[in-house]
Amino acid sequence: MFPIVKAILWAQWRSLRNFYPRDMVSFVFAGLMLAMWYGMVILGAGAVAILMSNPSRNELWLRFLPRGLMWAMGYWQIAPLVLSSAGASLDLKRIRIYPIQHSHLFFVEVLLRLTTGVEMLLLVLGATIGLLWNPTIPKWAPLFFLPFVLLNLFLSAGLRDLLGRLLARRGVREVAVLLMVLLTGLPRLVMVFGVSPETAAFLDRLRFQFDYSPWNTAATLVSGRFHLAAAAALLGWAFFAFLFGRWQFERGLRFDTEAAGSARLSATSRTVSGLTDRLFSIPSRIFPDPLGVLIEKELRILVRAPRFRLIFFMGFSFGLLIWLPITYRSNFGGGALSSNYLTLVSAYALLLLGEVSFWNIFGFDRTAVQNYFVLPVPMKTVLAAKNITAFFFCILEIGAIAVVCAIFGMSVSLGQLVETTSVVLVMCMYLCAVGNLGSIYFPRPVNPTQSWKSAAAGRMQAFLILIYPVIGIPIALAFLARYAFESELAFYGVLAAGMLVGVTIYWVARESAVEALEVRKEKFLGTLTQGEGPISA
Amino acid sequence: MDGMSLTVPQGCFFGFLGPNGAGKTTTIKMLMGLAPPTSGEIEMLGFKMPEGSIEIKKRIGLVPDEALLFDHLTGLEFVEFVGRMYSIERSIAKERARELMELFQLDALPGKLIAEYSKGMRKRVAMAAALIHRPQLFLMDEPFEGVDAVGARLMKDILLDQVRRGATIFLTSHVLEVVERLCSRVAIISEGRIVLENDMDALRGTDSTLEDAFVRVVGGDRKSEALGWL
Repeated sequence: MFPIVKAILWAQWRSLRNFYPRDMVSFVFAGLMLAMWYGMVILGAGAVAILMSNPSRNELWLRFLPRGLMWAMGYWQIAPLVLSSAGASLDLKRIRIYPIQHSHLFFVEVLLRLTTGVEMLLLVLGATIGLLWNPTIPKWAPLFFLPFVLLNLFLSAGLRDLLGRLLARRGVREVAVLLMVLLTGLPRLVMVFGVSPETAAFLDRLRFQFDYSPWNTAATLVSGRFHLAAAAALLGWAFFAFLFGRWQFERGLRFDTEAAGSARLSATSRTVSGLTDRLFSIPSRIFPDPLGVLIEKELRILVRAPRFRLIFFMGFSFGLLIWLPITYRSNFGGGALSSNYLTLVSAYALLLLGEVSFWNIFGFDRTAVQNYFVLPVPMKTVLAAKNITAFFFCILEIGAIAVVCAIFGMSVSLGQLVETTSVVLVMCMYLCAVGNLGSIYFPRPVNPTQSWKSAAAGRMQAFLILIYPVIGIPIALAFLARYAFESELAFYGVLAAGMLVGVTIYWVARESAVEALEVRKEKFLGTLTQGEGPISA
Repeated sequence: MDGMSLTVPQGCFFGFLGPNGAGKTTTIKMLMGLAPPTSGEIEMLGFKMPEGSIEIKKRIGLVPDEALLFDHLTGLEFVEFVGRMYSIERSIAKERARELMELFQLDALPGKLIAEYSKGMRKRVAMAAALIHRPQLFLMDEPFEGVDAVGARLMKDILLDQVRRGATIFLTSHVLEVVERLCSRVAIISEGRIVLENDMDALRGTDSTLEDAFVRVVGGDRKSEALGWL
């Protein structure tokens, strides 16, 4: 059994390693990032060890240990899920064809969970060392970390399979990812609006009821306070986690993702004719072919790509979640933010949309990108089609934001709409100019069904940090002109000048992009036609 | 590719063979302008590459090895899209796409996305898209791979019809029996060089099969007995 297990672990290691870029610069950069990350974790583990070894600090760490273990457990469960969705984790279903006993597969799965929760293992190791050095803590106490670790490994294995099956369904996956993203904005809302006394009391009651939670029991036991009930509870949690993990793992092995996917898609099969078809064909009535058909194709593909839909929804949900609290707070003081909230949220939404509309415009095409070289169509027409589609979705996003703002009871005047649309159009022009070049110099294949993974190449993302402030200059100047001259004419005059410069830059950038594409054609096609790894999930 | 010189007569059903990694797909990529040659010239249908590439592309139908399909379009939408890219009027492209989908028996599930298609269905859609503008030259990389017997028969009949109307077909395939039955001329490439080029009739006259000739010229007659443990 062990040679096979070793081979599987080796494959897991290789798949994790291959997840990172291979060219020297990116590899060194990724290596440095990894070294920094794990260096920080090791430092953290060292700090934990020092803190917990000091008897005079017992009171301090005892207070924070349950919460620390709770966060550790949360991280342990979430990290593998993110890794799995990013395609860097080994899918054991594909291992079944090899001569390994079925009963050993769960054991292998649990071992694999070790490799995806290294950070927590290091911290637990630090805590163990600290406790062993602490003269006031009995030597048996750190042993209770073992059921805590096992519990996490079993639970992690089960949750990964459970969520893997749930997320195989398109609708569920999108809603789940959207909820996860919105949850990240929750702390901000809590900070701004605070927590009502009733909610605080409820949370307190909840905490009391979780006295026998895995983190509380583990904290009690590893700190040397042995209670039979706590020990039984912790071992019970570990046992139930084992049963849950094993059950979900078995179900996961039997689950046919492909079949579920096709059943799902058949159930939601689209009607080609009718209203949707007429909507999609509007560009063809406005623009001549091949521009018209290219825009029509872009619209159809983007609307059907779960990844694009998610980001589009995030534009007016997550964006509002971020800006609404500030706007509300600003409303009380009558600040400038509240009068420009529509523009602010729209500009923020534009940044989100950039990922799928500007920075990597050939990403969703992947292998099919070859069509643009095979079919008799000039490349600048293809770029124009993709850019016009991006403009369309940006305007649509503004409409959606305005509707949501109106639902939240915030007044949206026609003047605000015109202002926001003008600002967004100017920004779009610059974003398209830079994006066209970026899409050719840093292309990256993107799976349109993967909702959770960055679409732009790492170097492009680094470049964006520099470029966004530059793109914001004409907009800032327009607002400055309005402030200085107290005139709408000055505002729109500067904006128009910005647009003129933007169009010129766009024109030059598009020509440069076409020329660059001719030179870099092979590399460009080679990058975009790379398939997904044979063992990635 | 290394010093390759190849002439394909107009109206010919040309088989282009070679072992894996010999350079067949690279040749097709060069013919389509996807991989420019470092030296030498390519002339097709009276136009030189790369100057005349748009004119050449207008006259070519491509069935690639790895189908160039947009996964999130339906088969019908994709074929119509390709037709319109060749400047066929929208209504005509739509009608031809519908007829081609019917011909290739892909019309049963019009709402099905290409992402949901099997490999054989993807090849059929690629073939349908390659036909929509009545090209003068077909470049086909393993067109029958993954296609069922009925589909393959249909595709062969269509291709022979195209040759009869004067079109030229440049086909790569690993199935030598298919090449032997369809092609009028073959070339074999190995390690980037043409090692054999002849008419099928002349090859048949040598009293050996295409497979024998193929194995002989690419040096693939290694015996498995060399591995004692096998």
